[in-house]
Amino acid sequence: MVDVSNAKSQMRKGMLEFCILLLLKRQSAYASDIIQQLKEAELLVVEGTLYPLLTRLKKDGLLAYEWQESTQGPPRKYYRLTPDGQQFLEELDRAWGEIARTVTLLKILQPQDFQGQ
Amino acid sequence: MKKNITINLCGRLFAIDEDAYELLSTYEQSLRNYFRQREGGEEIADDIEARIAELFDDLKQGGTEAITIEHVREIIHRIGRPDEMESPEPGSSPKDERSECQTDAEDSSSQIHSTPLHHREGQGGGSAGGGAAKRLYRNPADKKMMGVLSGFAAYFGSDVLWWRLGYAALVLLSFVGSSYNFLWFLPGQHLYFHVYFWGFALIAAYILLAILMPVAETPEDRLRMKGKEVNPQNLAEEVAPCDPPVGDDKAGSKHTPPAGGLQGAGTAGHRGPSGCIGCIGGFFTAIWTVFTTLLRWCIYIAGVFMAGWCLFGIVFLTAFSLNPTQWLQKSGGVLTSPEFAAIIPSLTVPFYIFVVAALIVLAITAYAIIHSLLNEFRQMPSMPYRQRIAMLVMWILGLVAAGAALGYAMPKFIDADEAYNKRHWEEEHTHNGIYIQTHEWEWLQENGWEILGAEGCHDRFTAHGEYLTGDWDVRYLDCYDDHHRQRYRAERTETLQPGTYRLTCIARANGTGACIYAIVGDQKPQFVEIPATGNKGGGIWEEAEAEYHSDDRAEISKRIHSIRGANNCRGFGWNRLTIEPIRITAPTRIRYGLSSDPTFTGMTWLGQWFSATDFEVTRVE
Repeated sequence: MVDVSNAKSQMRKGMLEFCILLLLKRQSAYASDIIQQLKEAELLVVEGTLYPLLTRLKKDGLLAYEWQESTQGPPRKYYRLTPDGQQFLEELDRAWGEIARTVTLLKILQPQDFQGQ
Repeated sequence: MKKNITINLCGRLFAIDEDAYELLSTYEQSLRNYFRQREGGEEIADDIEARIAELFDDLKQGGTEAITIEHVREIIHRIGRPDEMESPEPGSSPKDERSECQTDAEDSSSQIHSTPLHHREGQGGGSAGGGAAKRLYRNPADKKMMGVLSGFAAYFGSDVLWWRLGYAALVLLSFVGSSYNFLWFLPGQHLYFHVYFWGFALIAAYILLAILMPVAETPEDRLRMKGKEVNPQNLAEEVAPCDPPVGDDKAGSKHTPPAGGLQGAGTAGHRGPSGCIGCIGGFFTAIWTVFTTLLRWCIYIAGVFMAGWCLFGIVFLTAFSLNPTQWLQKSGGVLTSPEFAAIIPSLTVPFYIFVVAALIVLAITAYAIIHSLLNEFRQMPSMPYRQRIAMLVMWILGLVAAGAALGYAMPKFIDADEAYNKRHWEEEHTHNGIYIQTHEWEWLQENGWEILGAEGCHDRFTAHGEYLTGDWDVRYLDCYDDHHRQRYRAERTETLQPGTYRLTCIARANGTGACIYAIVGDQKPQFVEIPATGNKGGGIWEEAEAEYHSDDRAEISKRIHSIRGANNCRGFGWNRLTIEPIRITAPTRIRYGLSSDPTFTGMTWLGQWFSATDFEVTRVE
């Protein structure tokens, strides 16, 4: 029996980085906001997954953060996309477009459509 | 009732149940351990801690007074285990041992590239508590001595009682078996220290295992020891078992640990039973504490000595192995003998194997002892599990190699030693080319006797026990051969002034052809044959017997009674022999003695034995 949940998990993990960058392109955010949105999109199984990823993206220079005072409690990290991140995201976007096109084609095309080529 | 403490998490104070705190602390520690070796790992853990603080804050906002273990479990489930957080990123997987935490099927397959295969052995079950890879730890929670057997029992999933009984029985059996020698079939029994060898070996093995096996200190260790999955649920079980913990809780006994995260929080001790029983119990506990403290210090001191000996052994062995021949030459004895030189070529390889193996064993032993002593005094963190196992394996291999080398070399050495000792003994007992026992040689020397003929004498030239007075210790010249083939000759030399002399002696023989003789200068020898009286009666005894029967009894008992009655009135065949006259015209050497050599005496020796002694040269005129 092929493990569906495993395949799904793999897919999600592959997408996660892309989605975080997309979210941050739209709007800078706290880690908790990112978690909230990813959870709604069912992209996140455990919250802890996000933190190593954020640290790595920051290390690669794709993200940056600044400390923001909150109304209560200590300051929190407020993440935003860097110009490098912007560029990286565009590349990813292009790659995604190709993948999406391929997948769509595979889904809609019939076997006879291939024979002509 | 539950004990409740206050913790400072990212600058905010939270009231939390003690068991919940324990779980949280364990969880955070596992996170820090997991990410420790990664760049930015500290930051990841800090971020997650901040997230926990946020979630706690939400609970607080929602009206939760104190955070319970259920809350913590929920949060751990939500944030996930360290290994669950791992994003698929080849090459960045931390090499930390925590990555061996058992993971469930869904997650592990996604990280199969980053986790060594053998860590997922026995994963088929997949359910919590079953099939996770076990590890060998000492179990401090259930111990009689150091928790070694308890650790084995946990590892093999059996009752510790059987291990203890089995071990005790083995030790007892070894000691009793050595005493009564019914373990003769075990190797090592032929060694000169074989008595109790296996008993002490078992005890030594226990101590060594106690040093080398890591202690299951953390809840994660305890889970691994039992072969349970390290996940939040099991951790929670381990930290706070389902049955509520027995603890005293003074209402509102909150105390605020110093700020700085979870590490600073205090833990509460348990209170013992109260009242009189408590007092008596306390008394025995105190005695027990004193006893164990003394014992511990004895062990420390023994450890220091042992480590010292190991280091000395390392220095000695190194110095020795650098130039063994030089050391051997200094030692003398068998090690410098040709017998040993002959086996040196065959010992070279085993020798160096032994040296290397022994150095490894000594170094590991010394290191382990020093390490555990330092660790005991908090000078050093305890050794990682893998290092311990690696050292244990190397130690055992070293011991086996050293033992094998020794086992190979020992029989050869023993043979060489025996050959050397035999040769040495013979050399020591050979005088003028004649092999002779020391006590005989000394007697001959003292009495001026020289052995000139030794053929067929069976290496014996004197005897004692049948002297005519019955004095057991008196020694005399003597020789024996069943087939009268002995060519015996013992000789003594004196220098005499001119005059006439007489040589007297007492002698006996059981056949004809044995003589006493005297040679003056280069003249022809004078021979007197010993009468073949056998070893009964004899001239002297008959004389005594005759006088005993005469009338002058008072005189008899004074002079000869002892000879007549000696040796149960047997006489042993002694006769008085005389060579005279011996005429000396100028100062000259005279040689005299006893012989059965036909080429010398010209007579044929027909008996088996003869004796002679009390040779005396007296001047007649």
